[in-house]
Amino acid sequence: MDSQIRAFEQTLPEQVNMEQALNLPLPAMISGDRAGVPLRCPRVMPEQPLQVTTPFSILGAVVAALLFVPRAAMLAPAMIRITRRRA
Amino acid sequence: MPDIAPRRWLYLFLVLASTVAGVTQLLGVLQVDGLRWREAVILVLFAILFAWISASFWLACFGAVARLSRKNLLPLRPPGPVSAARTAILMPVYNEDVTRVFAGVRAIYEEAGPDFDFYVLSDSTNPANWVAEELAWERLKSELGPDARLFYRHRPVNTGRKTGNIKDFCENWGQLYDYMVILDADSLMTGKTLTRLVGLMDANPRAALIQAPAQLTGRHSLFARIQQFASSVYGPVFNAGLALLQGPDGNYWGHNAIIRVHVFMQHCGLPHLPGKPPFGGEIMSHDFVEAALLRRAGWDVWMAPDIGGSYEEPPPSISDHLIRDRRWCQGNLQHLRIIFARGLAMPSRLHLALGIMSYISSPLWLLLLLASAVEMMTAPALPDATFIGLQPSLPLSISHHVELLMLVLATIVLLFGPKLMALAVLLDDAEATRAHGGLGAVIGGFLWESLFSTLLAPIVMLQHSWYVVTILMGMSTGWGSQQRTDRALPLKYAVRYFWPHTLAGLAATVILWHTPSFHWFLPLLAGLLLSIPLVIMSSSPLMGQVALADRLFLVPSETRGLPVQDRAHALAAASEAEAAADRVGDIRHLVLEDARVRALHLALLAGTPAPPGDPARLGKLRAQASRRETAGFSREDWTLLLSDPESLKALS
Repeated sequence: MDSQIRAFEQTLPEQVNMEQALNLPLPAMISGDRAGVPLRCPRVMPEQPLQVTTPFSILGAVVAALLFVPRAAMLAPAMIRITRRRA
Repeated sequence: MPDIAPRRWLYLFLVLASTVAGVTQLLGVLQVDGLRWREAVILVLFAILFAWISASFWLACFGAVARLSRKNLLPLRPPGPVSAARTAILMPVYNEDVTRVFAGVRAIYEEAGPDFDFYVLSDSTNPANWVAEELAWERLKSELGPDARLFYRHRPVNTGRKTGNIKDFCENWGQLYDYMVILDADSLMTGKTLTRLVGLMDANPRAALIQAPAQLTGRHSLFARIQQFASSVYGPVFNAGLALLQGPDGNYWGHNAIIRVHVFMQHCGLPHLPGKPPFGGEIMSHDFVEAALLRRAGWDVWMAPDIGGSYEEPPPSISDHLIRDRRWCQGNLQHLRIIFARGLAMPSRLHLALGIMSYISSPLWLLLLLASAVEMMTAPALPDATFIGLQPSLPLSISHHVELLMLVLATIVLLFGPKLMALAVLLDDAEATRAHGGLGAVIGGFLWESLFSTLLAPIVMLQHSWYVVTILMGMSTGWGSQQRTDRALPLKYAVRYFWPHTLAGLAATVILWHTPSFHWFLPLLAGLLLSIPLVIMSSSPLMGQVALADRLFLVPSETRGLPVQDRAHALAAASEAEAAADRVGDIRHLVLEDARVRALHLALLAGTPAPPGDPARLGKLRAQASRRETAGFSREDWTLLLSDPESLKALS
């Protein structure tokens, strides 16, 4: 794996080095193959789905809770009785 | 791996039991003469805030027990002797002090050796920073030798801020690496810690992220030294408590963490939230959300509280601390929209909730204080004893004196208990005590820190409340670079930004002066009244030195030295001295004047997409630059010119 990855880092024509960039003889301290980064190896990071809350969804949740929680609470004793009878 | 559920249930029980006990006590006092609506408001606010401080208290208790019993807080397989993995160390920068950034990179590089690839990922929008970074990179690379794997990349447009910066790295070079370690511009990590983190990731293939908690260190102002002391003394206990309770449901704090790259790329692409900022748009505090997404995908996120070798610098002053908090506040409040997102694990939701609560608690506390003050002032003034028929009846403050006193004492215990426990844990370790200057220095530092944090609390409360209100009103903020240099703030600056705090303190003092419980408000009022001198004094590096001379707030890096930090500081000092010796004026001109610098700039520009710009404008700038008439160039003009290879080539 390591050697395969290193292969991506070889300087390729599209990585323009400094001499190519300016066509000038450069001072010795700047070497020819000194591009800032290795060769790009593109792969897209997919956006993750995040179903976010909105003021309306919060309002909806509150209304649903007000409607269904008391109802479920009222029905609970009956449901327990039914479950017991079935058992 | 130990079953984590029983300790979580125990923690929940203890927090709820403390809260119920506190609320019952207060209810007993308030309902004597019937519960009025104002008292009900006080009771609800008290319940929320009491639960909040109870959660912190019991977290510290868990941490203290874990520390005293020497519990292993990272139940992972130990690392192997060698690793074949490739790891990139990323330093995202945004208009930072270039000298310090590269000094830090070099210090870490010298520690970590050639096993790591280093990337300085620049999002700097200031062209002077951009050019300076290129020159610093070129110089460091030539000094480290041809084999040094030190890379530099600049984005012309900083889309997505830090998240976008890391995403850009992942999308272009992520596939080359197994792991990445993300640093902040002021982060330092030792080679030993980096190697150990890599080994832990190798040995534990389910771990997607391991957070190495960063110890605050390296600054010299009084405020920074107090923060460093607090982080060093109290941090280990809180971190231990967190590690014990969260297990693999850990959190990510944005930097000083190692991440499995392919997992991050697969699961942590952040969407834009619908709507406008502050609640819509880019996710600002990305770290908590990324940890939540990793957990949602079934990967483990760990914190390694005992790994050591992970450092960052605190803000140098109260003002800088609060400026940073403005951004963090907005980022955390934005999580209100994410906390109920489908599929997130419950502990991840709790992490988000705790982040939100750390800011929402301030306005709640303020409301509680206001409601209590109003209640106090509007309560009918009763004589010490009245008779209802033949029954003597006393005012609440007398008849329920013991209950009220118990509540106040309980609150004080919950607030200061964690600090005392952390102190006990530190003193239990003779070596750690010596590293903090010995018993006397630790006790002295503890007492002064407690006084300082008591005075600071109302200032932070007022400021956070303002932030929360403005953010809820829809006012957004940018994500600017941080001030990381020690400097004494001038009086004018402190007055300009802290007069509202002083005025609020004065007004409250006048209003509450004649109330019988005025003395209870004194610590709060003192903080507000003294806010301006407190800000000035605490920002002073000289006061920091005075405290150091008095052996106050000592931390191990000051008593024992810290090689990686000492090296970074020495390198930065040497670079600054050199830069002062050969001052070059406007560094941006070097690209125009100096063929070598221009060549370097062009080489680094290759492959970088040019930012959008008006071609006519660019042509005009090019013509002006060729005549060296750049005096009227704005920052945007310079960016446009320096981003265009053709213009620069035409200048040669």
